[in-house]
Amino acid sequence: MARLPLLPPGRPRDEHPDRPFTGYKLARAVLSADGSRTGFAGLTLGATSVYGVIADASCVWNRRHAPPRRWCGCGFYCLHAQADARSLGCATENRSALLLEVTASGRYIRYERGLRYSRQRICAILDAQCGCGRPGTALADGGSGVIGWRHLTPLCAVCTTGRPVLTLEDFTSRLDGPVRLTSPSAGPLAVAPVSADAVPASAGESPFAVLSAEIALLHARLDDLQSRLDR
Amino acid sequence: MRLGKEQAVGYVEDTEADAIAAEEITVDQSQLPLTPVTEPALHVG
Repeated sequence: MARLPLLPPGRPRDEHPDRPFTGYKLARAVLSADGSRTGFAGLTLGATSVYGVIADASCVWNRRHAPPRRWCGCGFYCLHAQADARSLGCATENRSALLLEVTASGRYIRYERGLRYSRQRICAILDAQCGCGRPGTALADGGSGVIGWRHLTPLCAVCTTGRPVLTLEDFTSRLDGPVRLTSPSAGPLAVAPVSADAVPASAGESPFAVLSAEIALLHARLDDLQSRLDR
Repeated sequence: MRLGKEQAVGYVEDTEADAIAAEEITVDQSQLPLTPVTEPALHVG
């Protein structure tokens, strides 16, 4: 039986470029349960699938067809413009994602703003933003995951204090292939200068020291109250 | 993810993979630490 053509008559043309495409996408960083391996997970359709540096797409709904299938949402996704991927990263649910540069190859469907494709090579981690607005330098347990893998969330040098983390360098060294790491961008927000008058007396002290002082003061007030009641 | 209107379909080889494979296969023979020396053939008379 003859197979149906991939494209009906009048549909966009079939093309065979010489070189694979460069694209940009977001993905979650993941760490294996034993901590020995790292990888990436999708944000929406591929959220339950973990992939490495080089990966071939498979359809999560129907394994009998090869991604990307037109009337199915399967396959890897990427955007042509880095700016579009950065815009996508502003969405609440994407804040903890890494910005990646990828090479897209294999079968593909090309759209105005990006591609859906079958084979992916991750070339670089371009950005990782901490939730506080500073550039991320390390990855901490994100509090979610899939069986066998923990989601990681980027943290800056300030927010890593007291938390177990994996540096971005450690993350890339545990991947199954080489991936370039670029310095995360500072982002559009700048830290406001603080005047000397606005600095509280406790600034610079450890939060534990401040808390201990508060507790001691509370105890003193309770003792005072108790002695008054006794009188 | 909204990618906009479809423009084309196609197929493209992962040429980078070919380049990496070629690099892995290329071996500088002079740098090999253990090179077997060709022994003369034995003449049994």
